[in-house]
Amino acid sequence: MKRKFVNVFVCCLFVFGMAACAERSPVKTAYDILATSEILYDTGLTFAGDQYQAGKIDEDQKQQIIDYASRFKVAWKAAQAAVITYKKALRMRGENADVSTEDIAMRTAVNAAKAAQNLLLEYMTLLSKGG
Amino acid sequence: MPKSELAQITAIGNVTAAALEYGIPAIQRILAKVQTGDEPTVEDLEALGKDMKDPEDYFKKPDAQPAPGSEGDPV
Repeated sequence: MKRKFVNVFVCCLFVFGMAACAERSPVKTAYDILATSEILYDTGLTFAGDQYQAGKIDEDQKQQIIDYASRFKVAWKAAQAAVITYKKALRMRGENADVSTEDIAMRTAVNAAKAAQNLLLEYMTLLSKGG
Repeated sequence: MPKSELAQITAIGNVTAAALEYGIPAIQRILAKVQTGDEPTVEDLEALGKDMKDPEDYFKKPDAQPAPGSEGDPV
């Protein structure tokens, strides 16, 4: 597999960073992060699966990727639930209502999903370098 | 042509092929999702992740048959 991950993910992370940094509402930013990370997850694991079928990833490496990916998926689902909760709170209480608790929960959950994805991507990048 | 040059050209070819096969479609999908300036609705948020597969699914052999008695497509 070697080195191919690097190019794929550097490009994707660039777009991911752009989406995260753009000046938008918290919900739009969270939506972009969730949408982007979902595609990165799918792309990364599709590539890893193809490499595994080609015999370039062994069983231990496969299991490690599955572990990191499972953690990411749980964190991603939690972040999605937190964003939906925030959005519903806004809808129910009005745009000017105090939703600071939901805001903190949403930001924490989205950050946790980003951290879980970073772990997955870092491991796959290490693999690509033969580490 | 020296072997090292051939290996280098092959490596570049492999990286290019991987970027074309995996990188560009991923970036296109990302841009399609994030380019809209609209505020997402609850329905938009709920629609995310609908097609998210389990990690194990990506490593299944293409010719893998479901085990007898396991869940499969309804007949």
